[in-house]
Amino acid sequence: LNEKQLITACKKGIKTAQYELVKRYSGMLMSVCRRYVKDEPTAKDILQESLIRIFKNIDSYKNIGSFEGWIRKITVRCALGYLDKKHVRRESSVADINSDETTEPLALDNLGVEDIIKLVQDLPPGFRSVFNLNAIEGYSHKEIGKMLGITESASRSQLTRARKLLQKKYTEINLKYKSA
Amino acid sequence: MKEGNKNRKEEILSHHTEVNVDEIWAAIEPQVDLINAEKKRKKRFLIFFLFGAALLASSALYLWQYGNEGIVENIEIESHNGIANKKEETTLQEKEKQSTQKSQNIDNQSLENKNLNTNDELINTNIKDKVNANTNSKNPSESAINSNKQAALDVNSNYFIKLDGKGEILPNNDLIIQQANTTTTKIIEEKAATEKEFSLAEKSASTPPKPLTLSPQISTLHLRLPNSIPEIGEPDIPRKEKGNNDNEDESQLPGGKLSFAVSANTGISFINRGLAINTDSEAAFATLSLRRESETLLEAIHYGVRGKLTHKSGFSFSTGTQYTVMTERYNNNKIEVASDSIEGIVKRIVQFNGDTLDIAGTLPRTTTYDYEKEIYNRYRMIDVPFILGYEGGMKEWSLGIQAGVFVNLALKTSGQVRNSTTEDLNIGDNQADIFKDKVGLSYYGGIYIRRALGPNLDVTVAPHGRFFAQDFNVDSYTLKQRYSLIGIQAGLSYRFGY
Repeated sequence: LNEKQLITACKKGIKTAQYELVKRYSGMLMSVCRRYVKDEPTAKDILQESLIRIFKNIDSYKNIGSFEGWIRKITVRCALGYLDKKHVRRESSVADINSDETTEPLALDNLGVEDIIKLVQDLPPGFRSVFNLNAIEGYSHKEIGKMLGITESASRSQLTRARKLLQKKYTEINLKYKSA
Repeated sequence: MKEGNKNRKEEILSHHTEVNVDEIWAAIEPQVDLINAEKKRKKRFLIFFLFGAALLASSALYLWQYGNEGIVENIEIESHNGIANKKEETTLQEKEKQSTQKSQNIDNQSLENKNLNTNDELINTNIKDKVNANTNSKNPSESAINSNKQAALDVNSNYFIKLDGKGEILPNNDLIIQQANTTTTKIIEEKAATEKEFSLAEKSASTPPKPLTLSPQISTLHLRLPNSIPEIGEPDIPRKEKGNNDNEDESQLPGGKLSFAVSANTGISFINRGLAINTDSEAAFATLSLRRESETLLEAIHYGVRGKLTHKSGFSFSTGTQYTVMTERYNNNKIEVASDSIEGIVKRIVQFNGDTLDIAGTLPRTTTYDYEKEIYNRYRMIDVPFILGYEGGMKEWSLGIQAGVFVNLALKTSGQVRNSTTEDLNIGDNQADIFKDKVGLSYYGGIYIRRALGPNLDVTVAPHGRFFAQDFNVDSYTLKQRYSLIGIQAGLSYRFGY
């Protein structure tokens, strides 16, 4: 089945197709979940919730734009919803409004994706969300502000802080490598 | 540099983490089944709705197209019958004329020969379907009427012999037609035959007259005879006019042109709910998702009484009151983990001499709560319907269409829904925060089939749809929900009037 056929079959509620969709995309979606939450079981819960939402709303996907992008968006929203429920995102977002906004280019060239994900997971939840949404998903600060219920400037400052933290951790890792 | 970053980004986005697909599938499969079942239900609802709409449209089209044409057809048939009768009568008239002329010729000769005075002609009519001409009587003074089931006719004036077993002689203006045109045709035919036979009888006085066989339907025989020469022309039979009879019928109707009926109805409907975000926010989206996941639409049941005024043309107006209950199921199956700490022994040291030393301290405690909640949410409404309808049909079956509005007098909610903070919210106690107390107008449309069970008792079955024009929620609530119902209703009605 190609992607279009798979989507059509899922829209019809054919279970084998739905299983196939889970099989095909759950790896990629799990990566998304892991970028937003630190622990694996929670990421798995978010993934399951995302898949249910995808099946529930698949009729609204009109074959316009990337399907991968669409399901990723749903997963991101699920993850943000989870963080919102846990009051994690909001709490950590309040503290950093007056931060220094100077940004340096982030150089993570030597790291593999798994290492980057682990670095991102180590960020505080608020920073993590903003970094993921802006640097990886490509949302603007305005959009992030709306999604997270924070101001645009708060989003910018959190991103700056997140970058700095990442850079710091990256340097630490590099030093460890070199010393090893 | 930018290219490198872009590639890195793509690499991160397309990164796959190893997952146990079967484990994930097993976890979500029951919910996927529910989603599929819900989709099928929605599909059935849509098919039912489309079928109902098509049925409604085709019924309306049929009534509009053929409702009046049916009447026209009847008229045409009547006029065709009229033409046919006229033609028949014309042919008969010609035959009569021919036979009359022949009869006249024969009669004249007979009369001349026998010196009969037609003014004093005696006609003995045997009621037992025989007409005997008394040609032997030559003396006018001897004219007589045999009273034993016989009728006499004075040929000087226009009289009618009423062959109803009483032998009455009626004047022209007292003529009563009691049978339809077909009977009249038979009368004319038989009259012609009678005349002919009568003439033949005149011609040969000794020959016994042939018996006239009358249709059993005939109750009145109309014979018009001229002063001098016996002549049978076209009978002056007043036709039964539809309008006049209608008026007569209407005058006999207890309710005139209108009839009134009271009915008790009950019905069941599918619920279709539109649940959407009222204010574009993440919290609203989360609430929407929570509510969609936790609520299942069930059915709507209604009961009502109505009074219906129906015009003879088929148009009707009905109003009354209706009580509707829409039911939804709310499920909240969740696991909550609460952590706290208690005072206890954190460490026990066993010494070489066998003594134990307990060190007290604070211990973390984790409690897991497993909730399985199932609540039926109910939306109760009292409405006043105002419905216009049109119906047509035949005999005991009628098909009608109806449309109108329901004015909502009250909405009362009970049950629970989820809110953004994952807390349950009682929609009965907090109705004012979520739902309106009145939901305004809803539009109603449908068809109905009515069958008469007795002279005044009818049973009706009505597939119908009801669409709420307004959202059920107050403006301040984060979501907006609106309903439409498609269902079927059954009712019993008692008619007063025609």
